[in-house]
Amino acid sequence: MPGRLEPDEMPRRDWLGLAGLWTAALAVGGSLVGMARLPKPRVSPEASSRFRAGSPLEYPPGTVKVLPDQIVRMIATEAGVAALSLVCTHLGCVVGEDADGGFLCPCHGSRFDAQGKVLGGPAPRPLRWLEVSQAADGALVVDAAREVPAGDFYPPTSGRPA
Amino acid sequence: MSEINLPQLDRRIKWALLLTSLATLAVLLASALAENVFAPWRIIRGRYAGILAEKAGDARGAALARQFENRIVQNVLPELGTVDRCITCHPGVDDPRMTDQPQPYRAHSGDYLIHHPPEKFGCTVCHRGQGRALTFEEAKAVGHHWDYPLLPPEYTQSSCGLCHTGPEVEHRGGEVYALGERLFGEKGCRACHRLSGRGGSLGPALDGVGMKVRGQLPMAGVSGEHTLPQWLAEHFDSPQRVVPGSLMKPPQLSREENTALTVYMLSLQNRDLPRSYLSPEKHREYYLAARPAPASGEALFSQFCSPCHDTGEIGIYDKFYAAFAPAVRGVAFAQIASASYVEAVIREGRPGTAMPAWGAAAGGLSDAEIAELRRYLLATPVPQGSRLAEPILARAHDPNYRSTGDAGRGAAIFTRHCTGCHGPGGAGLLAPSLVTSTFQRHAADGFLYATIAEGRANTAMPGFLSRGGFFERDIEDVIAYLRKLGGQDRAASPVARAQGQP
Amino acid sequence: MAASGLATFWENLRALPRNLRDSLVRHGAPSSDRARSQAVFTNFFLHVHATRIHPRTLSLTTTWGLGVSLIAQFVILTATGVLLMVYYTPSVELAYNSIKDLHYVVPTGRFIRNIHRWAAHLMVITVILHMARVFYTAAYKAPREFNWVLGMMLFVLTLALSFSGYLLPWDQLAYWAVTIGANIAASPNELVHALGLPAAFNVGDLQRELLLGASTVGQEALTRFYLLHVMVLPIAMVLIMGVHIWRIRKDGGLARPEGTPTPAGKGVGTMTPQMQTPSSAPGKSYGLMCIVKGRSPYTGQDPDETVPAWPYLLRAELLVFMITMLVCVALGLLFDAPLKEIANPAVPENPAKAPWYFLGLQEMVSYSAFVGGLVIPAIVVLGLALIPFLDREKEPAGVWFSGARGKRIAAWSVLFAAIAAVLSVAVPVRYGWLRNWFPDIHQLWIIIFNPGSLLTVAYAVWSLWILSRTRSTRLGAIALFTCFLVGFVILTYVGTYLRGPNWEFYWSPADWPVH
Repeated sequence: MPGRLEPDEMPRRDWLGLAGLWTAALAVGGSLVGMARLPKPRVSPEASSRFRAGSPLEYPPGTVKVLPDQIVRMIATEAGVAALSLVCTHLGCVVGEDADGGFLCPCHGSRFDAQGKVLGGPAPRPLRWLEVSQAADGALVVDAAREVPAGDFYPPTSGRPA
Repeated sequence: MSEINLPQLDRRIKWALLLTSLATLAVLLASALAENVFAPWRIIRGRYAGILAEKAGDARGAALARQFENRIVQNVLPELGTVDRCITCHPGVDDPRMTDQPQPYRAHSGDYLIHHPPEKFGCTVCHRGQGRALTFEEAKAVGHHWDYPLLPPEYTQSSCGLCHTGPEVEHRGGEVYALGERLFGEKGCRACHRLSGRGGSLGPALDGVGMKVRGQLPMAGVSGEHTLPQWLAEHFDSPQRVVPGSLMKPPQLSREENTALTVYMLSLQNRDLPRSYLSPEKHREYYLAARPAPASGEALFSQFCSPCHDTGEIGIYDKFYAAFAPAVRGVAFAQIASASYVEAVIREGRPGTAMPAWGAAAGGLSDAEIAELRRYLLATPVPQGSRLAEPILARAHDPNYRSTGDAGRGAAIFTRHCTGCHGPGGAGLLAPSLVTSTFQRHAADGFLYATIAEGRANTAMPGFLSRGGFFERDIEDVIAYLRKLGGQDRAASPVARAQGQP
Repeated sequence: MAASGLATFWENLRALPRNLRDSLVRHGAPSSDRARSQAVFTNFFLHVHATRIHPRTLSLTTTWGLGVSLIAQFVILTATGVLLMVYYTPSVELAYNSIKDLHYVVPTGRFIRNIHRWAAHLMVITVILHMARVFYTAAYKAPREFNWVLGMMLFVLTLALSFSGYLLPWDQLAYWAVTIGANIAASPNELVHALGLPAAFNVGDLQRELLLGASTVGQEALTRFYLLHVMVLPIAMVLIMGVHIWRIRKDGGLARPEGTPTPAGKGVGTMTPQMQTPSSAPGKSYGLMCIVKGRSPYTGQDPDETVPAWPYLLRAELLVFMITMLVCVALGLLFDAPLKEIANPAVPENPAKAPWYFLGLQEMVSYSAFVGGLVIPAIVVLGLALIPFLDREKEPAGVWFSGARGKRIAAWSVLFAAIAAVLSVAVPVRYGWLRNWFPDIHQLWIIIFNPGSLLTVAYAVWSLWILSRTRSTRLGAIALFTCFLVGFVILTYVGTYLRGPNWEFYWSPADWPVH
């Protein structure tokens, strides 16, 4: 009888045992991966990031209009319509308008000009320009989750798509 | 222990572990696939992406096709308290190019969405159904443990009534609702049903009836789906089949009217929608419901009284209730009834009979309206030939007249001549009850005398004196018996006071 | 100096992964029995195991793996429960919708809720089976009496956890089941009213108020049930479960028939110091062993009858865990957890049924809420908890039914209990009960004499009769426990399948009148 302190004669490779062990580990691991997916919501409980900003007729060139609920400034020029987000790119406060038509962030003093370009303060990036498009019925649609390059105006087409 | 063969046992455990682990993996995989690949909404949206690509004729179409993502989209409407994910599988509702597509891709019919953008209204506020669900069966939610399943299309217009009035939408896509609202008035539903505080009490009040849930409705007699709209529609066809023992007369509606009235019922939701959703006309309707404009006696009569009393000129035998409805605008009644008596009966009704109370606290009619109604009833023109003799009229309106008859003798006469119609003990049979508290308190002896003596023209009540074989004393005895039936101490009774007035 | 310092630092940096691993798990894959024992002994999660076990432990019929399966279920319930809490909101306005969202849009939400629900039901069943296993193998006997009591506590806690979770979805099922449950808690006022006692004695209303925070089920009740379900009861459960498992070892491991060769490996709690051979004992645990009391049944026995817990026991436990998981995920994939219409206080469910495991009680409650809902359950739980103290015979532990005689008694008890339980339902259904016979009877008589109380008395009398005939407390206990089990199963079946709207008797739900 081998002493209990000496190594046993173990089967060289316990394929069956290892396969069972690893499959079990895989199953548990797989379920953990599935469980880890749960906290990331598939839909946001907030209202949609896409919102309607009204008919293009409401935005003749030269219009500047703040949509306070959506925290966006709509700017219309000859080139088209653009939506400027009023959320500071530093830490997410809502910027206020200053006397020069630019913006000033109340939290840490970032300053932006009317086009959203950073003039001072800790903001690392200019204010975001949001994607403007048109819904199937012709209304302007802004998507707060999509950004476009600064200075990119959307030229609305009148009427409905063919 | 000898019976345990360790190597064999261990091998079995290993095999079992391998197999259960593999099976668990398979189940996990199946679950992941079912959710992430084969979910119905993913497949539907995948197909819609193809449709969009096909239709991408111009730059905007191409942009729409490019922006389309295969993910759940929804309308979150905190003001309405709804989250509607219908547009996940109906992505083409607001795309005018999709009118030729089959469901679920088709564009919404009519111009409803132009005036009701889904971002503000969502879908379920009009269509009902379970907006959070992501399969059609669960969104439709019939038999899926959801209180408000999807409305069948013919009833969708009921939701117009949440924010609009009938006339407002009649020619703008709400014709069924408008018809239903009109029918509700025309059919005199309020004679038995109260709504917004006005109406009779023979049937249940209808406030909020459009929000009733399955558990509140007896479904045993319903042959179709066990839903509220189906219940209402079948109930209008045959109230007694759906509600055994119902007192409601079958309303005899055409199919179209049945649908319209069901739609109107479904619109009675008692929901506190945000004010901004209501049209100005709807605000006005609510205002008017709270402070009704003074209506003419005739209008009041047709709305609240005519379902039973018809024109009120003749005593109608109602087969359904197997009883006569008194001719409240009959030529005889108009001559002998006092204003206070008529108003009192309208205000208090006749407890224990089909005649409900209409006073402000019960039926919702103001004193002014009751007076208006009384004027209308008593203003019936009396042709020369029907005019009662002057002494009778004088006695009818004589506040001091008292019967001095013998109740015991009156009982015998009553049993012989009156119980056939008025029932044993005057409790009412074909003809009205004579023992209700209202009647006993407010009908003066002179009024009773004139009625028994001359009868009521155009009704089943004969004039016993004019017919012959009856004497004044007989009538007085009967009156005394009636008073005994009422069981009141006459000296202190309100009758005495009522008789003191003109 | 600086260079060598840097070199050392570099060396340490290179050795970091290995040292990190070694400090985490103090050994590689063990290749000797000693190393295996140490692997179990030095691991926080494994050290509740004995390092060596008797091979009998591995055999399926010894325990059916029910205890380990319960731990697995508790782990699964905890994991899924925590995940559900990510989205669940305990508010009467939001709770129902948050469950709907879990069901429809949360990634894996539906699956996880289903698993949580089915694992909860599974746990109630398994607890009862586990209890039956322990009972019938006489594993509650000294020195394991108190672990049996702990087990009873865990049984009650399991039911309480399941029931408190029942309200959280805030649907019709939840609302009316909890309304019934809360009014059972209030049922002592039945007795107070029947006796005409002053209101100060009305503990029933107090109990309901403590449970619901109001007189009816509402936001307060939801908050309290949530607190109980996610906090109070799980903590109590973990604590008692920990003691329960710990005591398995301290009370001498799994119950074995006398004469079965017993393990004498390192680290077995019941070892006495003089048996310890210093060469084979980890030095540190020597002192620990000195304070552990116990009989020393190992002298002269062959230690090699045992096998190391690693890997045999651990693999068997893993197998039980995987089987449990398989059952849970398969149920979760195939069947959706029920969710009815949103709670509506104006529309009672008909029939309004409690969770299935309380339907046996609900059957008895249908005569007297106080007796059926409180007195009898209290007697049953108390009676079960006291069994090991009243039956102190030295029986061979670990033998099913304690032998052939016990099997026979159990079989007769099944027959008796079934007939009595069926009669207790059939007689009132067929002939009515006291109130039908004597319409003006005082409520007190019904409280005392109702089918539930008579059934309980019948069971007690039967087991006492067995006890006096066989002169064996163990056999009396077998009779009593069997009666309880059979009565529970039959009444639960009746309550679940044979009772319809208005608690009328129907042979099948298909015969229920259409509402």
